[in-house]
Amino acid sequence: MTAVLLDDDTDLLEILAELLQERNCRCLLAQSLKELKALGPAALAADVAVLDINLGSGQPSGIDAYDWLLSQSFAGRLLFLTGHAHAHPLVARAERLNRAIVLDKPLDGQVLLDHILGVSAGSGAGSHVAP
Amino acid sequence: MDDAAEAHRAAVVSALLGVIGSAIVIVGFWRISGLWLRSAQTVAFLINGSALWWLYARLPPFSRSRSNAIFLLVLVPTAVMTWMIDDARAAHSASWVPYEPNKLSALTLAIIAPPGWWIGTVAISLFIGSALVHHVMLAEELRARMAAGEPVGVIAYGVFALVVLGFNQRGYALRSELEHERSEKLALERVARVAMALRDLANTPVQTLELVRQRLLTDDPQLRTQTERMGRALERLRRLNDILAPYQSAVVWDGEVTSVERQIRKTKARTSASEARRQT
Repeated sequence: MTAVLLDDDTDLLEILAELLQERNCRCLLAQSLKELKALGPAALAADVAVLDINLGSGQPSGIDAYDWLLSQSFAGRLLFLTGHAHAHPLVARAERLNRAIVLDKPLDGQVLLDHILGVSAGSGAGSHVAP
Repeated sequence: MDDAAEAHRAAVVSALLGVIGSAIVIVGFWRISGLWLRSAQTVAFLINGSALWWLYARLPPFSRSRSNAIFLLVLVPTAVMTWMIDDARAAHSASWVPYEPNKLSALTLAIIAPPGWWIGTVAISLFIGSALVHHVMLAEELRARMAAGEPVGVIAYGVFALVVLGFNQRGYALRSELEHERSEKLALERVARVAMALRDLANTPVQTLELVRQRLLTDDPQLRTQTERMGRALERLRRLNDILAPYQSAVVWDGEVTSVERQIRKTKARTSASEARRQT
């Protein structure tokens, strides 16, 4: 299994990747949309993409990454991971996208891993998972 | 506009109407004015003009008590002038409608009075009271020549002026209440913005710590105790979200980032830059 992880926080990316690799999941890391695009076909062939919504002020957001992945015929699952409130305009937009699940930070570590690995039950695309 | 600014505005309008009223009286009653009335007209014009000039020269913040004092002060020469005008009209007319300037003044003052009942009441009483005293002091033969219905007419004007004053004061009270509500809403929104920005910025580090805790989970009993402690501490941090969540609805978003968040990010960037400089 391969996961693409997009988050502007290096520590979060690395620890999440370590945990997933321990569970036999290959990880591709990116801190911005530019880096995600640079991953090329490997990213597009991944089974799941975990996208942070807010990638920093003035930077393309996780929703831009979502749009790009869909435009490139990405067939895997899509998860948004955000620390922002539901009222945040970007989170509100993400909640309206029916291909993705929105996960609220901070989630219990095991719950987050289960969602990424696709072993959690009861959360279809378009749903919102809160801590 | 706060009460002090309203009081200043009322004093300006009062002085301006004093200037305009004195000028009209000078022109309108020139023919029947004697030396004393002309002197009173000139004094009223000068006092109101000086007060107006002085008030215009003031810059905020205004003093409410000073503005109220000027509001009342400029009325005194006008009240004296209206008394003398009635005397002059009585002396020069076979019959006349008395206390017209007093009635007009009472109604006008009810409309322009500053916040606070007593100033408006004193101002109205000055004109209605002086008309009533004048009525008592007028000779019987003069009273016989005036239009019928006095002093009931002037009293009725006084009562109506007080009613208008009541509505005016109610308007001030409502405005003040609205202003208070608005300030509270703004303050709440400011607190909400800070709360939401802090919550949003804290969630990623808390998620990182939670994953680190997950990574440290082993069979080592010593390490397990530590990770359990860390788990409980993280749980308490997560409760912050529940506490701050109700503030969400009070935040008005400015684009995709609140201004407070932008400020925090700038500070964070500055701190990171200075840390990088120290390390090099």
